[in-house]
Amino acid sequence: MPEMRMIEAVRAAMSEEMERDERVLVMGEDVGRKGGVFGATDGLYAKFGEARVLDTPLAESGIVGVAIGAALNGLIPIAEIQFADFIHPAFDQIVSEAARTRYRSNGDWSVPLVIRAPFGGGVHGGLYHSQSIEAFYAHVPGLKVVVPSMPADAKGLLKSAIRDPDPVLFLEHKKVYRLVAEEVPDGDHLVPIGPALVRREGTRLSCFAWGLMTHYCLQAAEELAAGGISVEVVDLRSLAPLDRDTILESVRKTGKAMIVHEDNLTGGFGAEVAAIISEHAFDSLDGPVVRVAGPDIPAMPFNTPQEEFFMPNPAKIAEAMRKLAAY
Amino acid sequence: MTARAHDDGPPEHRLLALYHTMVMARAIERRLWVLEHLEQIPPHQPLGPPRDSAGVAKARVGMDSFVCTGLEAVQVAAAAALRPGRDWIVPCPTDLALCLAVGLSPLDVMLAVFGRASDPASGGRQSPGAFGSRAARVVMTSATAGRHVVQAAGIAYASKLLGHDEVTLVCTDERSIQSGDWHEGINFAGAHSLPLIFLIEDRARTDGPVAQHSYGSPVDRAEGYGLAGESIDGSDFDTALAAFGRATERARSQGGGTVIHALAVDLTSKVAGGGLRPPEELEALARQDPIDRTRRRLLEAGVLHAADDEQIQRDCATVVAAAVEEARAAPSPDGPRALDNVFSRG
Repeated sequence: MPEMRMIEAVRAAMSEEMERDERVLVMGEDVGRKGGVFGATDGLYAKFGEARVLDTPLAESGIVGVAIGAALNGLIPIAEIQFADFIHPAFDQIVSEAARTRYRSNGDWSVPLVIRAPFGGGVHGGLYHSQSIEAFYAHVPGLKVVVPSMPADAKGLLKSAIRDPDPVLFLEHKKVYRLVAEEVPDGDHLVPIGPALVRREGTRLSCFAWGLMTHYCLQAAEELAAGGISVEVVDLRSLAPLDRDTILESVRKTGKAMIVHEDNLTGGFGAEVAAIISEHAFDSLDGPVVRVAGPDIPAMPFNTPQEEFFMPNPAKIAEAMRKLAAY
Repeated sequence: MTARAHDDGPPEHRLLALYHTMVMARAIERRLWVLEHLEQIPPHQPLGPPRDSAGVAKARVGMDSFVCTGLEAVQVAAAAALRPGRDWIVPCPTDLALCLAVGLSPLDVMLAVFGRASDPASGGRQSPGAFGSRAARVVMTSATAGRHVVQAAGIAYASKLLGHDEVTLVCTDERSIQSGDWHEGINFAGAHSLPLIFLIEDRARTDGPVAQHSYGSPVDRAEGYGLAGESIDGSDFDTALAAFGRATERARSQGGGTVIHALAVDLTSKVAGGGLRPPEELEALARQDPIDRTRRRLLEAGVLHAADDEQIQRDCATVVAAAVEEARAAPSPDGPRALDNVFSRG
């Protein structure tokens, strides 16, 4: 098995699926000759040609709208939104169109479509290259929202997304692209969309996260382990559908729950996880359900002190873990 | 130009069938107007739907989202140039005659109007006017202005990439061409020389807010984006048929897309900005009625005879009445079935 970083795993998934199925194409701003601003589509243009590795106008509603139409007519598009911050002009195409097509036609039409979008902060991206957008979309029935945190998962989940008959929003954290490398299985490595994964077993509290925050939670858990506090870290991987069973099983074991996300606190996806725990594992709780999240300010500032103020990090998370463990 | 069986045009039986469809569309709409006045509940009614003596809620009839009247000729002309089931149609809510012409039935329309479980387009989920049939390649669209235009560009791109001999027709009213998605769609079509026809069904209902006015003709815009464009008299069946013939030929010969700006008349009594038209204005407009104009030409050309026309009118009235009764009697979907078809499984 080759060792890959997430960016390479994403590229491998697309390349393999395009080889396997001629209906698969990628499209977006600069995905062709340039190979994408992060290099996710590097080499695909030379391999598959401009018709299947399509540079689009800089118009996100158009990118997703064209992809929807192509899907209606038998293709399997992977639409790249260059930065998740720029996805908002396509909100209506995603929410009112792609996610609703099967429903409004009572099953007559469907939109097999993957929308990939690099997201997240901590890279000095400023207000418009740092956003976390998952909560907007995980709210929408008819749309799947997947957020891998590790290279092997990125490949397996993306291949599953491409083969999924329904629209999938696939969020790739920019800072994770080159953060870690791990062995990634060759060939038809498929990770089903839905199940969460317990990344670290623990007994004193459960910590739920996705994307970059999974890594930070694991680092914080390691720090707490040195002090004798055992923390379970659950990588949700998919926010829609959400693996409620794994969440509840973990909380029933540890009795304490924490959700960590870098999206701002209010109305973030952590609120939904907290509500599920409160509603279905209340009797097992031995402390308040805690959220560690970005502050409620419009977006992540560019300057270093304020970016650091915004981002949850292992130290902040470890502090919150200690406080909850001691409750 | 007169409506008759040209060597290169539709044969007489096809012309009569197209005329029949125009009459049918008008008959359906007239019937819906009556039904609406008889049965529709105001959306703000606080006490819920009216109920019969047994306490059963009366059917809600909704139709005010689509008004085809005045557009029948251009719509059936478009259908005549396309190959049903092979070419793609991405309609807007006014396209009743177009959808009838490519295979939707009056009963299909009425089942949707009554929101019935057997509505083949959406099982009673979408508001009336959201036509759709995968088998007929009529794409079900939403109620948002212009979103479907850029989707149509994607459909046409797929046809080109897959090497399929298919043409896509996408329709909007005159207001939706202000939307960003219309421009993004036409830009993409021009850039890739797609086999796509943009029909603008313009009834000039823009005498209201200044914001609705266009400064510059849609044809100029089409040319700016690298497409062909022409403005036509959308009330004239022959003119429309010829325009769609040119556009489909261009599309099929890899010549790219066309914008057809069809100017038609608004024959309804309501003024877009509010109020009603005076009777003398309505009478003047009625002389532009596309169905009457088509009828006169078919009569003059000897394709249609007065007695046949009367029979067509009676047939349509009968079919529509039967469709209304069948749809009225059809069962509504069960409430919990609202959970179906969110995803492919479940």
